[in-house]
Amino acid sequence: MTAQTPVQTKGLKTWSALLGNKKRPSEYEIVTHGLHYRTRKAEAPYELDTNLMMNQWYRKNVFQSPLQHPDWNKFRDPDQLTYRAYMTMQDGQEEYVDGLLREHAERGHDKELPADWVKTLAQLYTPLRYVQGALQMEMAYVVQMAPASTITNCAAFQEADATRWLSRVAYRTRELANAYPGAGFGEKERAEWEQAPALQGMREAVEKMLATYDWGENAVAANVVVVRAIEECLRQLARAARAQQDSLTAMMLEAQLRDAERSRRWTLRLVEQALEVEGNRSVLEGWVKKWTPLGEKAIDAFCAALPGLPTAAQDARDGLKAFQKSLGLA
Amino acid sequence: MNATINEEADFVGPIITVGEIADAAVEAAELDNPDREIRVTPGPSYIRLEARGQIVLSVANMSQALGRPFVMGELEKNMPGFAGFIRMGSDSVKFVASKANK
Repeated sequence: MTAQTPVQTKGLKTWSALLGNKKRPSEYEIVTHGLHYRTRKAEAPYELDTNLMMNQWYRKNVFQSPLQHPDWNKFRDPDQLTYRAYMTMQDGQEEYVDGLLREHAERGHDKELPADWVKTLAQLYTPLRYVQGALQMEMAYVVQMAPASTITNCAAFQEADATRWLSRVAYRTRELANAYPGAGFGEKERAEWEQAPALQGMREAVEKMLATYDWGENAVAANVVVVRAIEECLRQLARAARAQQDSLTAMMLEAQLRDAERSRRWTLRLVEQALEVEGNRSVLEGWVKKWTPLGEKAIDAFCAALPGLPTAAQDARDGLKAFQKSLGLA
Repeated sequence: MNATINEEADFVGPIITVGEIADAAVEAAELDNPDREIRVTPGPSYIRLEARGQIVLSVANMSQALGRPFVMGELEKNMPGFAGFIRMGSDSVKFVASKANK
């Protein structure tokens, strides 16, 4: 039992942790800042026995990560999203997607798709629910591991975005199955995901990412490389869809890319903060160098299967590289 | 036909919820992109505003069209999707077909 220093509370106008702000704390700061108990005890992040599996896991993969910062709690979401704000915002977005689905269903959109494009959707689009499932699990790990609740919150919203699109791809799978019975919709997605050459680069990247346990490498592999590479594939898929008069697939993917922009904003802020520590640059650059070939492999395989867009793979690679460049890491 | 298909893939721009921001964006797009043909496709609750290769919307012309000051956040709130890459600045937003197209 150690003697505790009395906390001076008289005269405090806000939480002691936010005193340095010089401004009244926003709703975002009040409900998001400093919520993790797992960063309080270096030896036992999850309390109890220091040798408890989760304590060992967290010490190794967070406290001893090559990515270090003296104050991760300094991180702030550039969008300052709270749960309430996220739900309000995405409620509007979901209404928009509902409207798209309704409008296209009413005019018999699916029945008018070119036959070859329907095959492409079965090969490249409906199997994406496996990708979205992987991206959801990926962000769940960041939620569980991140050393600051402000980072956890961003990852949680990104996880919700992944679930959102998983659900929408599943819905479209059913609609396409109704329009094209026997075309394999709702039946062959798992086989495509596990065997189709166009998807094997993506599968390798997401599976290796999910099996990367150091929190820093995991988050960087995801949000600086693998998730971005997948988004660039989706951007090209949207272009191909438009060229095939498939406005519904294009517009849904374009709506998904709006969520992607938000993820890119908080990733930029996280990398900026990490780069405040001198040793982190080489760590980050090392991870980007390690993971980018996997992202590019995913892009090349996926984009090669897109009809009518010979420059799709290069455009997607350029997109990935431009994002990494914006972080100062390429 | 193939040329038309490829051209279609290069159209970029925002999808904007129907309302004053959408109306203003249509007007501003004509002023901000004098050398490009602007295409407006109406939907039930949105419009798709686009041009081939690139389209720019400036705060100045959005404000002029609205008859009041406009901030870029208003477009973000009313933009459920977009085609191309987005470059958001404080005085304009640009949608481009490829990263090489600055």
